[in-house]
Amino acid sequence: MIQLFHVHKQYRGQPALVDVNLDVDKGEFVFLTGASGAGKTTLLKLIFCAERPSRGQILVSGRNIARIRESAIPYLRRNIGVVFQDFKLLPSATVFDNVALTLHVLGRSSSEIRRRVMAVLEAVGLEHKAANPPQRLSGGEQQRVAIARALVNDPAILLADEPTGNLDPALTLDIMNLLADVNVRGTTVLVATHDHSLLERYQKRTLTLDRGRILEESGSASRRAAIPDRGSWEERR
Amino acid sequence: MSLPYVFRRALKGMRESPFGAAVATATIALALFAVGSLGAAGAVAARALSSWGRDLELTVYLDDAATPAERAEVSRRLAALGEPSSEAPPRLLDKRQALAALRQSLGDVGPVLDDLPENPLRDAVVRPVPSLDPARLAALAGELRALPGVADVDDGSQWIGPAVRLLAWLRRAGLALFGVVVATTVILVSNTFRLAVYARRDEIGILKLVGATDSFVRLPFLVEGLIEGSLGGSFASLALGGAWLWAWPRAAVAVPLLASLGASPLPLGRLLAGIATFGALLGLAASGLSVGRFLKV
Ligand SMILES: Nc1ncnc2c1ncn2[C@@H]1O[C@H](COP(=O)(O)OP(=O)(O)OP(=O)(O)O)[C@@H](O)[C@H]1O
Ligand SMILES: [Mg+2]
Repeated sequence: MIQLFHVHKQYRGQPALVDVNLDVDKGEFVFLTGASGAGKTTLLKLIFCAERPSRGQILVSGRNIARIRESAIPYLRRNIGVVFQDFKLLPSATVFDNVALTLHVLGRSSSEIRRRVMAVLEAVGLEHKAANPPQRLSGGEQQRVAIARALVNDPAILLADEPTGNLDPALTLDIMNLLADVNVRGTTVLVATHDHSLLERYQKRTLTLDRGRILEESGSASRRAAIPDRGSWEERR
Repeated sequence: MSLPYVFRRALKGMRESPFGAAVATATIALALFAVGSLGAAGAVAARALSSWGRDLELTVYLDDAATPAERAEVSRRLAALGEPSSEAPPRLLDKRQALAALRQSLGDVGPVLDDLPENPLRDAVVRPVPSLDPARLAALAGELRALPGVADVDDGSQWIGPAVRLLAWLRRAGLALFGVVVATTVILVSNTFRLAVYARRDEIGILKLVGATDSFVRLPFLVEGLIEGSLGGSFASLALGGAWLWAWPRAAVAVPLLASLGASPLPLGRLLAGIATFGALLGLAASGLSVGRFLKV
């Protein structure tokens, strides 16, 4: 699903990633960890084309995106959901409209949008907050809105960069359980975090980055053998 | 992407930054009002000048001693000008008629002329020359003056020439001013769009994150420019229409020359529709300019 071959990334000559090789299968759950500045965010950015690699090849869903045309990037992103530490919700729009954005971009009809947004909000347990502005939600709820926005189009891949960085421990577990649930339903999930308690608790495959290099892999035993078919959120209800 | 959604987003953008939208609309309205007034004034001046030109006559005064053959030659030369079918033929004005006409035009003091020992006026051949340009007219007058039996030629071009040159100069100045006003407007308005793009950079970033194409991000801004430009153009058009309806009757009373142009010398409807349309294009150009330049996300 995601493969990196000898990927290097430099920011103005400063190496951020050095010779990274990686192979993430369809339906896997992978933690990315490492000290601050190790290159976690950079690695995720390369996968959704927010940055280009300085060297090396990156395959996403079998497609080489290292030299992808600028105009093709939007279409790639429609198959990748992204979640950040700071949620990145629109304060001037309701929860519903924030989630609907993903589908408006795809030009879906308003009836389909209504259906799918309500389905995914139900899946993250926020259907009753659909009409609220995001500021009136707790941090955990806001992150669930962001996850709903990332998932509403049923992407094959979900990338999460410190998704629980702003949340207290109880909400952190809440969000992590949601991500694990998403993964169980068939989405490939990559989570960057430096919260070691999560790594211990979930016992998933973990890649540790150190100054741009992949230092060690652990928990690979948990790589999934059977991958369930992915259906849409509505079918799964 | 669906058109209603694009419109909703454009309107939402205007609601969220009403000040920017108002500034853009007002800038376009003011600029078009200025340009429109200028254009209307210029058009009226051109119409006035050409109607004045229509009254021009070429008058050839004949020597008293001119032979019938010489008189016939002058008439022939004048008749050969332009397209005789569409214009009045040359007519002979003999000096007795001319004196009688002068006597009448002097009214009460007219009888003074009766005491003159002899008629001081000359016979003349008169030909209306509405379609000749002043330079041709002057050249022609020179040729006629050289004919035997011709005492003098009055072509009126000493008046019309400078007026035409002045109008040509005004037209060039008007065009230059038009260019300056349009360029300034586009720059000012595109600046408000630059601010709008900046104010919504978070939203733009999120749109791109969920896979929006550049055109999806841009289109609402362009529609916003189109709406604000149309509004500004319509305001300018209404104000100009009102100003015209108020000012024209008064101008026609104050300046008799203008009265001869009639009650509605300009194609007002077409002019105003043109201004509204031009406003829409201006708004579109201004938003396109800033969105094209500042939307590298
Ligand atoms: N846009 C950028 N321009 C220049 N240097 C950058 C940029 N982004 C990241 N870097 C550098 O690249 C290196 C890796 O940064 P990155 O953000 O990937 O680290 P990280 O592992 O996500 O850290 P954190 O845990 O603090 O989020 C750092 O040294 C950082 O300073
Ligand atoms: Mg980071």
